[in-house]
Amino acid sequence: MLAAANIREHWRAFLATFLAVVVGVGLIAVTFILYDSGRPRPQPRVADAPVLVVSNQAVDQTGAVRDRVPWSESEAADLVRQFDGIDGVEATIIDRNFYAQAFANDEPVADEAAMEAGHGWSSARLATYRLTAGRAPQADNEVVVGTDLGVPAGSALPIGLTDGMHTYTVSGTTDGHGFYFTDAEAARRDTGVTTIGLLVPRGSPVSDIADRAGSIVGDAGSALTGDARGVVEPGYITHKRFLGAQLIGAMAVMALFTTIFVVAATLALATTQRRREIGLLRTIGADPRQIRRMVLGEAAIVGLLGSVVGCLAGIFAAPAMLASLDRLDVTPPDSRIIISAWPLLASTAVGTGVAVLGAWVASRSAARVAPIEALLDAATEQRPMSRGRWIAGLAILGLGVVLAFMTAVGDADGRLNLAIGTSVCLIAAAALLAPIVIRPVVRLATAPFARRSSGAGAMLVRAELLNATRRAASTAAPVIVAVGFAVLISGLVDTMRMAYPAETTKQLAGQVLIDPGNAPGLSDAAVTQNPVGRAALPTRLFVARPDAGDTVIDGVGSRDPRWSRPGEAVLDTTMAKFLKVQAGATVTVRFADGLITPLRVAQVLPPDQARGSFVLSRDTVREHDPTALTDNIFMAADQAPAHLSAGARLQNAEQFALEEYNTDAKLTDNLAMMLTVVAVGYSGLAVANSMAMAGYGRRTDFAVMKSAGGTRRQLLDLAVSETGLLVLIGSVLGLLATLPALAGVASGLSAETGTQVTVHLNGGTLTWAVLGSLVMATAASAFVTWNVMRPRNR
Amino acid sequence: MHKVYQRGTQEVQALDGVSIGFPTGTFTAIMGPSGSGKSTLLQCAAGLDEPSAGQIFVAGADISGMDERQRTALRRDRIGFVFQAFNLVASLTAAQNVELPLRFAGRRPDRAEVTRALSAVGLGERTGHRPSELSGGQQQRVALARALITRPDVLVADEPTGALDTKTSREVLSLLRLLVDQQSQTTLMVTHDPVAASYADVVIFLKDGRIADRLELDPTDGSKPSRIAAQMARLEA
Ligand SMILES: Nc1ncnc2c1ncn2[C@@H]1O[C@H](COP(=O)(O)OP(=O)(O)O)[C@@H](O)[C@H]1O
Ligand SMILES: [Mg+2]
Repeated sequence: MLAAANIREHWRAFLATFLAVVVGVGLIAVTFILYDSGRPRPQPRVADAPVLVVSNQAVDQTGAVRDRVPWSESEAADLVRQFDGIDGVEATIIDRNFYAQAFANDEPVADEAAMEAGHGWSSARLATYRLTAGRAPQADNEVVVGTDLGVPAGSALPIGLTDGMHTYTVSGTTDGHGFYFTDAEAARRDTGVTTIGLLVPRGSPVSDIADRAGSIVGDAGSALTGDARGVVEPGYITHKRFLGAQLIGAMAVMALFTTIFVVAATLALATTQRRREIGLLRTIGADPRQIRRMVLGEAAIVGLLGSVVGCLAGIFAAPAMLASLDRLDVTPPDSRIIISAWPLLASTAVGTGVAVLGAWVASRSAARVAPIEALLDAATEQRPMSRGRWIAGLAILGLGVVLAFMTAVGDADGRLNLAIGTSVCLIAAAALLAPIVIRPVVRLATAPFARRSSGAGAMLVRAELLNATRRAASTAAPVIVAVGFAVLISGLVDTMRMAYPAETTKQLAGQVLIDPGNAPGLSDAAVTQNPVGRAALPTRLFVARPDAGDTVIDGVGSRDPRWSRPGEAVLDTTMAKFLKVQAGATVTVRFADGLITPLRVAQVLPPDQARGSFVLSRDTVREHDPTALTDNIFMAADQAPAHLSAGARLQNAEQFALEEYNTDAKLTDNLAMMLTVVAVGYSGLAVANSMAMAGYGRRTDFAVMKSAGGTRRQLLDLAVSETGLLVLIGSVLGLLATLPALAGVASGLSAETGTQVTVHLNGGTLTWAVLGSLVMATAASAFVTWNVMRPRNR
Repeated sequence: MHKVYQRGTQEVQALDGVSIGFPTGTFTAIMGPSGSGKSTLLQCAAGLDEPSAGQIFVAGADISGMDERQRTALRRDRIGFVFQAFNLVASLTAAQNVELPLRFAGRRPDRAEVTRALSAVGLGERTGHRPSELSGGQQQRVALARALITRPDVLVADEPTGALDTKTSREVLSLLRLLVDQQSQTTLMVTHDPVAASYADVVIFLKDGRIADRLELDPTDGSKPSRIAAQMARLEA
């Protein structure tokens, strides 16, 4: 009763909390909706198979679930025989996927699905596609292609495969994308099986059949039906979804933390302003627990209301966000927004929870209000620093300093996280310790004006800020956070952007590379044609680790005679440690064709990106993985070939690397921009709120000043200059709190790349963050002051 | 009892050896110059504050040794409060304000009981009004109704009429007197207004944290306010 009534009466005090929750839940709802909408749905290419049996997924070195562990051909044949024995199974079809790409005029026809566009003809039965012309491939030099290629049946078509270019006769066309070869040809080009489709006549008991199939594969895989079959999709789609999820996921996490922060800050302020009323409640018999529950209840109600509005906002914003992700090309093709219940319910739960969590601190300090405070004549300012605030501020400051040193001396992998940790600590410490910093700064900054000016303005600003330090700190704190984050994010991006080219230049200077152009990789023919240079053949290897199960690692087929002896592998120290082996030991790996082979560890060498962490002979990789493609060939510039195979291009290695980096940087930039907007937007909200609360709380002060002859103009000036000064102080503190982390990153990068890396700040972002906070804060304080001074009838 | 406040490095003797009893069913006014310790005495007696030394008994129970939880229960069940201003929760209606102590005690308020309490202070018609829709005198009467809803052993009022005009002051004071006469409500009231004090049975005068004087009032005496004022003037001189 009390919580709800308080919200109705003091809605102004809860407005900022409400808005913060609306924005936070809006962003989180968008994330959930997009995640839900982008969840894999059965691809048309396998949608006609009611049951898909897939092998288990292995985890990668970080523990993330990745590639499926392939069955060997004989294991697969055994499974097929058993599936065929299930009652009601009409056909059992092994689904094969391999690189196939049409060439026209000696150029690969661009196709982002090329890496898995080749299939066996029987796979077409799993698809919803039908033959639109001609007939099925009967000889190994015949192929059925999608009508989207625009090649009529009967024509000759050059097709790029992993071993090189071949000319096929188009025996027919089908109304879906892809290249359908004879099953024998497909089995040669993709050995090793991860997916088997079961066809059943219409009306058969699909789930019974799936259960039977599931018990046949047992622990080695699972039988999927319905929407669960969506996981069988080309890797490029999975990758895009992953990128998109990372982008909006980061934004949602940021929104989550900032919402907690803003809610905590605004409710803490609201509580401070209500001490007298809380004291009254204590006097008439409320115990601290009841006060606590009241504050948490208020937060829960505001959180719930904000969540409902936030969900609506999320529903309306989701299409726009999808469109901008589409523009960045990080969504699965044909994505559209689907609104189902769980994203909205989950967002509401998160929003309400976040509000209650943010109210935790406020509820504790409200519960500590003594009953006697009901009798205080004025809402006197508390001590600027409570003991808890001192302890927390200094502890976090200490932690931040330690982290800053670790950032500078730590290794590359941890550096980014350490830098972010450092900044978060220093920013939080600055916000907590703001009251003690503000005093001397204000004293210093206003001294010349106060001494010289004869007006009331300078004297008042000085007195107000010196005596209400806590209120001043609550205005400066969000600015510290906003400017701190903006500087941190943009500074990290810019500093690393400076370091990367420096490192690249050093490593790749004087090198050229042959790059496959529109194709996903270079064929064996292209590699043979260029016998000089590094031509790595990447593959995936599966290792059964006793404690962690099947683990997938990157293997590299090398043609460097130093480490390309059959039956042997060269590991780097990291990999050897991960696999717990030493030189001379044997590692047993499962290759892409499902065959399990022991390899002798010939050498363990220090890490070298150019060599790879698990190096095999190129021939061994090719023997076991017919689908592998070489990314590119590096060589010294003077060894560049005069002739290039179809589609390949010769590039300056350095330039190529920079272009690749810039493509990635575009994503990073977008992410940085989104995060900065979120941070500044939220802090603006918090600043506006604390200005508003302060303004309303100072109604009587203003009345007194007015009766003492202050004009409305003078009081407005007073409020605005007070706010402006605080925003500037907050900006400087935010900047200072971020510099140690950036300096740590720069010195770490310097040591690692062997070049001079200095801290780079993005002036644009900094200006934008400071001006954004300044405009929001002064506008809010001017509005509130004006509103408070307006003559009232009541 | 004694009460010492620490102000910076300086010690302030707010109450310097005060021994006093307030018999059941009496109406006591506490007067004295500003800073003489009136509020401190009231707050200690009502369990809002702890004495530095000495003991306080309310309805036979020693409250000086109680912890905060016990004192919360004491305030809720045994003591009713009315302050000078800001007595009501702005977001609640008159009736809801009156119910509040019962709700804090975990009791479901009886609608009729609340209406009766409001009627007793002459506000039976205003149960649904918010504090902002009530006059100052009416707000004080709602506060009185709330203070009495738990049938407290002691009613404590600190300058209850300090913010009211003469006419509404008189209404509130008559109401207090009526409660003492009809329900034997033990009442303590701090005031600096001789007219307000004249409604009491006894006036206690404080000066520099000590009891300086004590005046028993005769209900039939018409010149009470001027006698009290004269006493005050002597004290302040
Ligand atoms: N919380 C406090 N801290 C320090 N001194 C106080 C405090 N409350 C009251 N005092 C001092 O104690 C003395 C008595 O105050 P009080 O009981 O409020 O007087 P009265 O109500 O008679 O005006 C005064 O000198 C006052 O300044
Ligand atoms: Mg007083």
